[in-house]
Amino acid sequence: MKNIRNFCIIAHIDHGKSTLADRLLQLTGTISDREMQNQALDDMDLERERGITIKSHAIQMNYTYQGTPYVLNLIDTPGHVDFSYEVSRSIAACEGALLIIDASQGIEAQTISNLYLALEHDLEIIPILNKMDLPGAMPEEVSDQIIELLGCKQEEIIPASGKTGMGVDKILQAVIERIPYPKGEESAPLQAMIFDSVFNSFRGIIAYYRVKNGIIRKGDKVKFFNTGRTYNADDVGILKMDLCPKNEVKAGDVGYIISGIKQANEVKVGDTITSAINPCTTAIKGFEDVKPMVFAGIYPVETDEYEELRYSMEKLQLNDSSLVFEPESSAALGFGFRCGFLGMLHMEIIQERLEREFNMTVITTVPNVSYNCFMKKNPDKAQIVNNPSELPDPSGIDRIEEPFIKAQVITKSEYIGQVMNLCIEKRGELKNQVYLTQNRVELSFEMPLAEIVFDFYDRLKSVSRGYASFDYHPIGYKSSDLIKLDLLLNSEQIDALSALVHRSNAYDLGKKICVKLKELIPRQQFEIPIQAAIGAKIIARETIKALRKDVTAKCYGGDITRKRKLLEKQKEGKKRMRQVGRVEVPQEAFLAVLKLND
Amino acid sequence: MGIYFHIPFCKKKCTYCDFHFSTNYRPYYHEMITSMTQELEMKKDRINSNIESVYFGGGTPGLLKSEDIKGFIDLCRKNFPLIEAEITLEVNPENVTKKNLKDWKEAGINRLSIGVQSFDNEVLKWMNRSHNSKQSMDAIYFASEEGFEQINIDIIFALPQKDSFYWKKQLKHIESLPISHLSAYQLTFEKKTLLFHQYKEKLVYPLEDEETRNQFLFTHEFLENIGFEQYEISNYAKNNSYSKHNSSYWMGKEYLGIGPSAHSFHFPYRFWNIKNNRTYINSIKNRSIPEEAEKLSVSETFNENIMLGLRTKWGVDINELKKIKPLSFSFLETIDCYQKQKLLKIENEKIILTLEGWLLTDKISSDLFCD
Repeated sequence: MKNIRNFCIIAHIDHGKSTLADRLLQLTGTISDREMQNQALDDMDLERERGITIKSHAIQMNYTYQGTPYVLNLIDTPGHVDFSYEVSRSIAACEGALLIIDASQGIEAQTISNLYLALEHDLEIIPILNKMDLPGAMPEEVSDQIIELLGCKQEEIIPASGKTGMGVDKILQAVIERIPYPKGEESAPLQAMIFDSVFNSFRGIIAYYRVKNGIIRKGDKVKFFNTGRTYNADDVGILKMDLCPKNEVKAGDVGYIISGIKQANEVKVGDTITSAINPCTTAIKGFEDVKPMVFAGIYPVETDEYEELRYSMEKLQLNDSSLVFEPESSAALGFGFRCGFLGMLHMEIIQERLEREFNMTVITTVPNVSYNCFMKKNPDKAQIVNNPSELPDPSGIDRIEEPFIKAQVITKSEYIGQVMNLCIEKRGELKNQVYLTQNRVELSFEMPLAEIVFDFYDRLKSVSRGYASFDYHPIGYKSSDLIKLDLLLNSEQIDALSALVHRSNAYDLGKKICVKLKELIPRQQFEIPIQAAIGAKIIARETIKALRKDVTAKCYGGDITRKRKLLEKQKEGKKRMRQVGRVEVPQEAFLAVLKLND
Repeated sequence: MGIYFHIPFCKKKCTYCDFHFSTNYRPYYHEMITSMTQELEMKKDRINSNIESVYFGGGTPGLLKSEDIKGFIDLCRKNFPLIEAEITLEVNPENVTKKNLKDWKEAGINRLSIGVQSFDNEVLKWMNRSHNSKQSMDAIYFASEEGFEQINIDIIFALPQKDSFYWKKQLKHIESLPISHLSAYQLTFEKKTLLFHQYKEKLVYPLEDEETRNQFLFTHEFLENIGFEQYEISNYAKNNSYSKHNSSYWMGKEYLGIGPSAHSFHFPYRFWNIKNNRTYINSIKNRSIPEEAEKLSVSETFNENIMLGLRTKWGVDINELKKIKPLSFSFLETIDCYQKQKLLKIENEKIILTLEGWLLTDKISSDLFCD
């Protein structure tokens, strides 16, 4: 055990985590130069395109240092706030963390919150100044930020570059010298914590774990502590570039288990694997059943593709247990699913995967959070509302509670004003303001989660010209003065466009949505009124004029190609439209609320 | 088959025009003529059927020297018989002199297309045209007196801020003209034109759809009353004097284009020459035709048939369509739906748009496109 080191990487998106990880794999000979693909750790196309790792993975490296062979387990962590629980479990599986900071960018909010998580778990932090090769690198300034944050010494910071390979040997040296070796009892009952799982279409679910105590052997009867299910450990082993079967994986090490599990939801991140015959008495602490934070309807564009959509979603759920869904029907959109996501990125990923991997064209409705609704008749019992159109009749409602978050924004001091205005507009309340360095400020707000779901990220980026990073944690429910805003197209209420909004900005929002819808819905052969309403009261109206002429009576010589292409484009646009009553509505219109400030 | 010569010269640039031309052409006028002659020589093997039409378009073909027009026609004649071919020259009113008319006739031109555009001198000025209304009238009458029986004039409707009342007065000028054909184009705001620039600068706006509609409908009514038949969205003919050349585009016939930016069609390929006079000349000098091409897929062939056929009174032949690709259920549904709305009709196995349908041609065509 003394020769094992378990560590993870904490980094902001684009700070070069994947490239640096690749360098570690290369230097330790885990991956040959020939096999070297850029960012070898990210194996989904989608991940590589986004340049972030969505799902965590782990890999074992062998490295001989001063004549002694070491086993180094690198556990990769997702870099987005939507997946913070998974990050916490990855961190809990390690004794140390590489803190990678882009020398040209400095520390970002996401990095800080993950760093705090790592410090909570007593991880040894190895700060690394990455991208030192860039002309814009500001090593002194960023080092000061790190020293201030960690209280470390200047010499402890390793300058590096994933691109040139600078500092990579020093990082390996620090991993071995500075990170403590794992502690555990091989003779104690088995206790292994699951920190990730993936779905393999041939072998079922492959769970990744860190053994805290005991030994897991091939053929053992094992029990998953929180789900209470037992399985046969058909195959156990360690993780190299591929799965590497072993007869046993001992305390301190990281490995995988395959036990014929078909459903992702049977394997919960954070759960403890123990022996069915000689179980441990307590589970490893920190387990949580992750709950979706954001809900939206997903509907097929073609109504007859409902069954296909269900099949695709079930397939997706096999390797993404955080996706939850149940059938729902909408008067406007027909049959579809109400889905729960960890956050907005997660929602986007699901939509993209449905389109890319399953070739489904879907309509996603405006996302919303989960509300607690209390009725006058029974004011102590919360009724959970995951879909605004299911809100009970307002006259019977005592109060509505919505989830609040603590939001941290780190920005340059010159943008404080704009960032504060935005947060206040989003019903945020400033709780704290700390200068990290002379011109970097951390602002903490309490605000409703629902406001983040609407265009918050884009707005934050634009008011700060990209110099703001953002992170949040849920802090529970609070009552709010919420009302249901309905939208009518051609005098028919479109349930998929309803939203719960704060009374104070209902009028403004209603007007803006109508204007946006007018922009997004193409003219049709009849006039279409667009109205916003609260209950029976119409609060805003726009009109899409009838399409009475759509022809260019122009000579275009023999250039038939150009005209054909124009019409093909027109046809293409129509394909992504959904017939709602008599009106053809393009996909984007259902998300109009999110784009009000474009 | 038809041959199209693109003459890429103009005296000046009209506000609305996005066709390819240059106003500084004098230094290389002769080189251009030589290059175009060579291009035709190089391409003559592509001609595989009788030549039914020759068309000089532009630019301003009226700027060609008469001997060069004759040269091109003679070259065509030398290689292919031009029996009863329609040979059209596009001209501006200011190009039309008695002398020119005689020369053109002698060269073999049997149809003139005169760029009248408007009968309103102020509008002509706004369009940056070089002629006035009187010159237009003279040109038409001189041409007729010189024995031209096939005369077309181009006019433009849907001018900014000009209502239907104005348009009706404009049309009155046409009433007694000795013309056999008329093209009425709607003013469009094309990129890379002064008009588009003015629109971006918010100096001018397109006429509203409702007004444009009314002018289109009124033009139809007015011209039918004086003996013209609308046989294509923008084209009217008296006594079946349809433009053979333009009709060949809509009927999917093959054509050969000569000159910079000229398009050719040899099923299933469409070709287009480069839109640059100098590059064109240099390339031809090196015995290489500066063209790009696309090969039409089955779907594209299908779609073009619909797009072009629906523009004409002859419509789209359902049996021809079926030969390209079987008709889908949704295609038939769409046909049925538009038929109920009286936007199209089916006659003798042809899909034909009604007048109201013509006003929505782009929408209907694209709805009928296959994937």
